[in-house]
Amino acid sequence: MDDIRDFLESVFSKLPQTPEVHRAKDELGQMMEDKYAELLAQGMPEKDAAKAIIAEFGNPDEVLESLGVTPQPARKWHPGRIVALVLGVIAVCCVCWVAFCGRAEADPHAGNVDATIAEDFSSVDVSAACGDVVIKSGDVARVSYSGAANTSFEYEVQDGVLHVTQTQTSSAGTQASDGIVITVVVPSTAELSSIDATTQLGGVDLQGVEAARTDVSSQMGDVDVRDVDLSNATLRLSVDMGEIILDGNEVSPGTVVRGTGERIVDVSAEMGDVTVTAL
Amino acid sequence: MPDEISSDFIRGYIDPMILCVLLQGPSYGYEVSKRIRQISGDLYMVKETTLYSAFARLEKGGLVESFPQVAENGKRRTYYRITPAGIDHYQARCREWKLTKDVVGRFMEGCGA
Repeated sequence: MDDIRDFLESVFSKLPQTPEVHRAKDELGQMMEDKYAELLAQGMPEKDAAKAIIAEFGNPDEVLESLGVTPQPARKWHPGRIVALVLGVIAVCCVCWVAFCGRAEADPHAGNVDATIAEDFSSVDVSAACGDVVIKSGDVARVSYSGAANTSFEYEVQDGVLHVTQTQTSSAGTQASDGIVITVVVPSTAELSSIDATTQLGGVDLQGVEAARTDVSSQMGDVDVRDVDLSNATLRLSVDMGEIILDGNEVSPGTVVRGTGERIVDVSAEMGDVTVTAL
Repeated sequence: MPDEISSDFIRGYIDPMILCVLLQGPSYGYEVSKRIRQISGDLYMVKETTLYSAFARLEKGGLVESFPQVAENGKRRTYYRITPAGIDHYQARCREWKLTKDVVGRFMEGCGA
């Protein structure tokens, strides 16, 4: 039931917070709880029941339309917001420049990594602070990192989950992400139950890798998902400030849900574009 | 592709379908969706969002009214009951359906006969 609650939270956090929307969330939660209880009573395992209920949820935009609320468009570009954004970008650039020029100690964990992964895994969990994340398919599982000083990079397989973590270790402001790439190659024969990949500063590029549940996101950067089979998937795309391009067509920004398949694919970017190209 | 009900089409009838269920007595979200599935012989399952949207629409139009109920186990549920206006609306949609069936049937059952 927690999975379902989390799912509802994530769907509803992106909607306007009005009393009617809260009521909708409450009642949808009631319905899902009742359905969950019944599936469990029929002997379905908890995880499967949660998956099924989430997959059959439907389209939140429909709820908004029936409440007479137009689904929230991308935030409007007020002049004040543009000024704030420009100043913010300039500030970040200055800090990055200082950090780059100012790096004093060499970080023993930084440097390039190019390793083959021997253990089997059925889940991938990549978390990066600054850098691009690329996940693609190949013959053999590998993890590579072309890093920078002032960053740390770790990877390990634990309980069937390949954890890859990259953080910045310098306290001298934000590390720039240029040229920092974390690459994970998933064996084409692998059947993944989940892929989670997120980066704070940089892009995420998922090429031809599928899982029962996929969640890729970036705070500042573009997210690309390509060559995935979306015919049996529920695709949820979300941008706060950017564009959504689905199969070459620009789609209205905000939150978009397509499909009602069993596999869940969540793609989101706070400040960047989301581009999805199906197989 | 197996034969399936067009979801665009059925969406146009979800309101009277719900009213039909409520005619049999007040009920709540999941129970209504179960009844719809049963009556449809498992050929149609309404999604949570579609169902909730319909409830909201029906209530806004005064065709149903909601009331809270607390179950024995303490679970809070929102119940719905049909209103007199809802009954009238349902009957009007039934007449409309008979007419639709008649007209479209001339094309879909023995083309132009």
